[in-house]
Amino acid sequence: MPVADEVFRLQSKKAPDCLLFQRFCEEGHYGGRTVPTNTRQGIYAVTSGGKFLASCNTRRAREVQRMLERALTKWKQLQESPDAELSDADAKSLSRVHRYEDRYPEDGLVLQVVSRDLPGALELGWWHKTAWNLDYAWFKKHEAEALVPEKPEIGARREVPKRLAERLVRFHLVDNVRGQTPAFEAADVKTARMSTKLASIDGDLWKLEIEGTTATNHEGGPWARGVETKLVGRATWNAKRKSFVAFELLARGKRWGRTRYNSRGGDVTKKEPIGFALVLAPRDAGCRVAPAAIWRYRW
Amino acid sequence: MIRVMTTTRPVAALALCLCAASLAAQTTPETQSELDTWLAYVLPKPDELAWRKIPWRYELGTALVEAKQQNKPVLLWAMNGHPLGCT
Repeated sequence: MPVADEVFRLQSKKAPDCLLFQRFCEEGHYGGRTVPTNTRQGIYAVTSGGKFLASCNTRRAREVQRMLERALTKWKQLQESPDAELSDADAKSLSRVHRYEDRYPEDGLVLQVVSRDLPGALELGWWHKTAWNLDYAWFKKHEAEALVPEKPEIGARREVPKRLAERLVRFHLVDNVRGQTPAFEAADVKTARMSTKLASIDGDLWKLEIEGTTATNHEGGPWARGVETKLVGRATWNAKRKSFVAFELLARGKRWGRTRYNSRGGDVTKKEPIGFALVLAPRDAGCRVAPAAIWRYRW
Repeated sequence: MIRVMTTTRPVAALALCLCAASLAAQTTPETQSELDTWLAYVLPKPDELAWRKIPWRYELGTALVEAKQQNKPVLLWAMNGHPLGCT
């Protein structure tokens, strides 16, 4: 049963799933470790009851394969063990765990946000040329509606509400290409302008054009940074169902500076090219992960 | 997390370099007509999405319950930042 989950929450919080993780992870590859960090990142194999089978932390397929083989050998040995299986009591407590994913906007708009360096960016490591990252941007139903011109007239325009444009700029147009990076603060936003225009109508389908400009600048100290982009995109709105059926937005521009984990170096004052693609996310289970900065949405 | 192409494909890498060089020489895309080119550059290629072929659940707790129902062990991929999102 393959599952992916966020390790900082699992190793530090007190919810039932976290406590279960904290028990078995200490039998794994980083058990007891605090230097250089206390992370418990990795790949773990466990029984449904949380009995440790094997673990590793690697990108090498052969090592993962060997770990899986060890895990399956131990799994067969533990099949008859009474506490290998999840107890009914534990299953019940796990079903009451609340996650940000519970707030997934079923009737709203969910975008995949992909970030990638554009040609000309400085490369310091072998993996930099092909690095990219993925996040999700959520909009509730009424927020999605606020992106659409109100009148069914060709040429009608709508300025995206400042609150939504700023949320996009602060939490999603961030330089996370090579690793996690914090969101911008409200004071860092210099420009967050985005508008849509009704380009054509085909039955219930409204074709929209999107444009805008964004700029953030966090000043001072070694963590000074910023992003400037121009927005250009298109979307299709189903006016009868009041939902987007297509959405493609490009934010292209420059970034500078660095944060602790985003693997930037060299001349951090130099502006280098970056691109973000925001497209409609599939509705499958793998795309229901909450945005990285969901707690800052204040939903 | 560092998302990189996990397959070594010299031909694909060369094609990417040539595409990048070509794009770098073009003027800044301000129009809808150039949108497709830049979206294709930024969005992940099929090789970069191989990990999504696995039917990952996204919460450990519900995966453990499902594993109990199906009498299966659990394989957990745990990272700083959710592995299916921003890492």
